[in-house]
Amino acid sequence: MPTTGHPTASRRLRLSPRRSLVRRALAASSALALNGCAQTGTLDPRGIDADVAAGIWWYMFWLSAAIFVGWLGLFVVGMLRKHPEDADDDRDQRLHRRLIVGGGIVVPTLALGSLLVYNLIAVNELPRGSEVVVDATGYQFWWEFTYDDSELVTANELYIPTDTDVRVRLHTEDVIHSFWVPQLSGKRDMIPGRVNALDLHAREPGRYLGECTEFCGIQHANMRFEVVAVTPQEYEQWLARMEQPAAEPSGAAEQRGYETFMNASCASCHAIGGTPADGQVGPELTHFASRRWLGAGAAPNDRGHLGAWVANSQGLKPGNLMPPVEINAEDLPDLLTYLESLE
Amino acid sequence: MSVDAVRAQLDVPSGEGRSLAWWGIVLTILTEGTLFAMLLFVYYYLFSRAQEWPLGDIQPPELFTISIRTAILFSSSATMSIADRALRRGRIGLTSVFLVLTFLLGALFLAGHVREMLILPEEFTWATNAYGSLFYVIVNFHGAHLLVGLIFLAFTFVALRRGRYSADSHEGFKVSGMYWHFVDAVWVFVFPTLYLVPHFLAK
Amino acid sequence: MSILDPETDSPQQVKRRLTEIWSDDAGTPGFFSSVDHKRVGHRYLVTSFVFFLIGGIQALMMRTQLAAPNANVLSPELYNRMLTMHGTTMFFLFLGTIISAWGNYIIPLAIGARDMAYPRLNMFSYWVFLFAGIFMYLSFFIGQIPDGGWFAYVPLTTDFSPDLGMDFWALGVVFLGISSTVGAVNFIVTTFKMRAPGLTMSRLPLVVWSTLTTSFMILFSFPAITVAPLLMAFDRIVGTHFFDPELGGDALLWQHLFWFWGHPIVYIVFLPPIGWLYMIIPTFARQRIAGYHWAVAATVATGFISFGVWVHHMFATGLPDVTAGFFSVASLGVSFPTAVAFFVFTATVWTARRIEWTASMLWAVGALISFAIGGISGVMVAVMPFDWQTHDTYFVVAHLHYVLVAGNVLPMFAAFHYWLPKVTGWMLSERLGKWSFWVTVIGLHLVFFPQHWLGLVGMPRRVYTYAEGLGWDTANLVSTVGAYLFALGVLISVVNFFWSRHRHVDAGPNPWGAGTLEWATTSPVAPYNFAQIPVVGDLYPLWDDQNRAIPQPVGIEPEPGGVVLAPEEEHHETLETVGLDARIGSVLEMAGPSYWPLWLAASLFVSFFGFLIHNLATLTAGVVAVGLSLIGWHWGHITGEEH
Ligand code: HEA
Ligand code: HEA
Ligand code: HEC
Ligand code: CUA
Ligand SMILES: [Cu+2]
Repeated sequence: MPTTGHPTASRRLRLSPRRSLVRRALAASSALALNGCAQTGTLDPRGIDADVAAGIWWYMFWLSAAIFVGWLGLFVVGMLRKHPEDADDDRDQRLHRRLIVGGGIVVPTLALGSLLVYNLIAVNELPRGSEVVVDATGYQFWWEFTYDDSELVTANELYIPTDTDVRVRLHTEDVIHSFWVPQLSGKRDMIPGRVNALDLHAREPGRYLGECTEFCGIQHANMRFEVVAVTPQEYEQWLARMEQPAAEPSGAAEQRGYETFMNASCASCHAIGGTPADGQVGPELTHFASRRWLGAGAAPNDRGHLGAWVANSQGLKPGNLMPPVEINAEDLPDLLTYLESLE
Repeated sequence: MSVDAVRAQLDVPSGEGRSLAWWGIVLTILTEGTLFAMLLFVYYYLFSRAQEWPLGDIQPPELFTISIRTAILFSSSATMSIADRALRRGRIGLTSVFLVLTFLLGALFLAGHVREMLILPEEFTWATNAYGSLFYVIVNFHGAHLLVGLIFLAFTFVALRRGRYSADSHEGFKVSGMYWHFVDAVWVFVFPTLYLVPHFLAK
Repeated sequence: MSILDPETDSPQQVKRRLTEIWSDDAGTPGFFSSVDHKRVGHRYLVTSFVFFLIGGIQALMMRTQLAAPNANVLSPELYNRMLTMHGTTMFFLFLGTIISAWGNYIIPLAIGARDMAYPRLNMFSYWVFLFAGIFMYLSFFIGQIPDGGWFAYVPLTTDFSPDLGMDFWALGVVFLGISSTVGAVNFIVTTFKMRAPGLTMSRLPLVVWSTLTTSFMILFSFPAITVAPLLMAFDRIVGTHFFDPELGGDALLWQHLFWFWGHPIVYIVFLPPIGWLYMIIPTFARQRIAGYHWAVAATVATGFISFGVWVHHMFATGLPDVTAGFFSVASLGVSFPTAVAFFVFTATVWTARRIEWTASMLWAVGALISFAIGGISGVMVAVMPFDWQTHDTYFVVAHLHYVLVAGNVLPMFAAFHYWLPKVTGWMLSERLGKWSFWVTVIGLHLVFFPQHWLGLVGMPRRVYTYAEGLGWDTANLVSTVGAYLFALGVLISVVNFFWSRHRHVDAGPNPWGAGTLEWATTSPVAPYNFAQIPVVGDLYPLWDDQNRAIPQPVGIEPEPGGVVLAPEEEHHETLETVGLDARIGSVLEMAGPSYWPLWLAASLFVSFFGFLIHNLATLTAGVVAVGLSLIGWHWGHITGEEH
């Protein structure tokens, strides 16, 4: 599920000489060829919480590098150097004590103390408001989002306004999941019997990869989502559009697809706003066609994959909780056409 | 130290320091005690998170019989100490009597435990809710330790009658006494937790 | 005779008599009834290493699946099962037992004892380990392999895991805990009671200190890993609700219990290997360890602090910031003792006359340098806002492998090269050892260094595959190639073993010119360990003031007036010492060979199996057999008819 943080991501980075230098050093040392590909993680922050984490990382990186190299140097020189022949026990012991106290107590105190201070200052800068509240619920193996002030329910794609403190309340319907949008903020677990909260604050519009990071069963790997950050105005427009019921089937093909959907077992698991389908087991599909991904990131949402999914989702995402449903081969194209009409 | 010094020291009478059996039982008690502490931690952890206590419709446990049983159990510790002291004075007969008394008191307590396990399920079981699970698991865990303690005492009795212990050599006896005291001491924590908390800290 | 009297006995007679007393019976009966600590250690070594290979093969399977995006080598189901068994095998069946292996073999020798304090309990702990390992691996035969990850978070592993897999896991873990616990009791009592006269606590070799510390940690932490899986098994099998929030239980309770053990265990498996390095590096540096007391203090302090940091595995669970912050600071604090240890090594080599670059020394130095990387990434994830990013990503996978592989596996190979000559009597090939070292270490860094980066760019752990186009492909491929290289390195060491056995270069008692007591006896070690109980006056009793080994140590040839303890009866006798300064207490009669440890372990196996298959009859039979074995074990003591 390659999600570019922002179209200008890579260009922007090259503007910052320090970062790119570090990154090149890191890449070289880990024998990696960074193929200029989309960045997804901690190292490319787009939200203020992620900025703080990235800042801490770079601070620690340089500190650690200095400590590691410093210690290694002492150790290696110590092994290679020639010890004076006139060994003097007292002098040796003084040296030992100096090394052990200096390296084992003094240096760590300074290093960790400075780290602690840096950390406290950095964390203190974070605002903790909640201008928009969203409830996120984890299911094996997909996500549901409920927008607080509109009761709107969507799945697998979370829209948020930029430059706004967004609070996500975290729930689960089954096992523990963990909600993580690396470029925006750290992760927080969704735990049965508890409600956790996480703050997002996107600095700039974009599509950000979200992942489940707590092992939650057979398809933990394909439990992803997208956070779509848009400007506050666009966000309002989006909300208004989403609150509409699903598009009426137009045309014969869509009508036949609609009927197949309602008559096969689909409707018992999926809900489509404005229709009799109100199943609560699987993701709602009211505006399904507007999503970019299928099956929580298992495949792109195009006709080919959608057909494969409906015919047998187990092929695309083995072990997911949507069972294979008997659909006549001649009914399938119409069903797909209908699903694709749910903009 | 020269080898001669070692030889000289070899004449030092044995018995200085603790026996292997003593070390063994002390370490066993440490780790088993931690095990009980863990279980009680689980109890208080769930207790502190609960909205109500006991959970559901379960009534707090009845206190009368358990108080009597507690008194019985604690007196068995006293009889065990007396037996130990008698042995140290070399009075094997008296030791036997008090050992048997300890055993009987322990057995009486355990009989009460079995009775409780037979009638309590009418009210709730371990599958009723977490309160039930805690109650049954902890109380039976203690019960099982008590059973082991009783078997321990029975062996000690056989060994005593076979003349294994005397005023000079009573380490083995002392060690089974220590285990018995340990099982009683655990009850000092288990009893208030399981029986008093639901009354006096009820939510 | 207790003291060798030159008028009446010759050293030859003494040694013959001791051999008669201490040798096991020949053949099968001897095999099953032996309680010799050397045999226990030997068996632990072999079994533990086999589990290492098995866990390694599972790792290779995973790495093969992850070599490319959307690969189809393992099904998601099989991947999760291999992942779980890799972590479980490595942690429970390999790491936790390799330390007992060297502990059993080396510690009695290093303190000049003839056996562990409770020889039978010792063999029992081995049998339990073996049976618990077999128990867990039985799951492969019925195809219901554990699949909940090595820390088995509920409720995925309770309500959402219908097959027997997690029952095997939970009960197997409880079963294995018995082995570690009795082993720990044994190490503690051995250290306190069996040291040779004069071996005061401040002359105690550091490997003994670290095992002693570890043993105490086991006593206080293993109850958690007994209670937690037991409650899990109850929830799964008999229907209790400890972890079920609907009925008053709690999902985080599991995590607290697990990590209350799970953090100390990482130091439990890493302190003894540091102890091995404390033995190895001074030998090849020809330099007494610098700052012995600092090293002891660091070891013990690590043990204490390790009980106060477990929440750092739970930073993302939404605990109150103050609670979590406390554990974050404590986790930073735990790096102090490790830093001290590192500078103890640095100071030691700094004043060394000259370093001997044997294979063993290479492995040891490689271990230290690699471990530093893992330790430093540990400090990073201890910082909460950073851990919120890296938790459950490959960054943590990188951290844990750096510390575990460099903190245990590499020292294990150093220890093989160092002590195997003592065990077998022949030398391992230096050349193959060095080849193995370079291949393995390059492999190690290739596998795990890129994983830091993968974690930073967002790759979660425990995923059976990943999508294309995320830029993760190259790093994963490098990591997989590294894994095969690592395996090749291990394979070279395996070949080295068999080839060197064939070549058979005689080791002699002290091939490295080392200074500690385990080298004061023959290689392979005679059944009685020391012909004469040594009397110790120094941390390096075999070194002269130039740190050169003395030529003829007393453990091999008894001297007139030496304490030999070779009685007429077939009694295993040794000296018991008292107090921190190891004054002579008395002559101790130790338990001899017995079948009861085996029966008891087998009975436990039957009981656990009965519980597993929900069969009351089997369970009852097992419990009765446990009772009978215990009675049999102690019968001699009760009736006074021991021996
Ligand atoms: C041998 C085992 C071992 C060891 C020794 C350590 C050592 C440390 N570990 Fe690690 N840890 C694991 C095994 C180990 N760990 C495992 C297996 C996991 C993952 C479990 C799982 O999730 O599956 C884990 C996970 C883990 C986490 C949780 C991460 C997460 O899941 O999000 C954290 C967080 O604080 C942590 C911290 C530390 C720290 C601070 C140390 C410190 O003790 C490190 C101290 C060492 C040094 C610092 C290096 C040497 C010193 C110097 C070179 C001197 C100078 C240094 C400084 C001044 C800094 N570890
Ligand atoms: C001691 C502990 C230990 C060791 C040594 C290793 C060794 C290795 N580990 Fe593992 N690992 C863990 C402990 C360990 N691991 C733990 C605790 C986890 C967490 C599990 C969880 O999340 O639940 C983990 C998870 C883990 C993952 C993460 C999986 C995931 O999150 O999805 C990966 C992925 O790369 C991995 C890889 C490897 C590799 C490549 C090695 C290599 O070093 C292995 C090298 C190969 C061998 C040692 C085999 C060599 C031998 C042969 C092939 C020869 C055969 C010859 C004969 C039979 C004679 N390990
Ligand atoms: C028993 C319940 C069940 C039935 C019946 C069912 N589904 Fe599903 N469906 C699910 C679940 C659960 C998921 C989520 C799977 C996942 O991503 O892990 C899902 C996912 C989907 C998705 C992907 C949604 C998204 O946003 O990624 C589509 C499209 C879909 N189903 C269509 C159908 C159609 C068409 C039918 C009938 C032919 C059908 N489903 C029948 C349970 C069901
Ligand atoms: Cu949900 Cu992993
Ligand atoms: Cu930890």
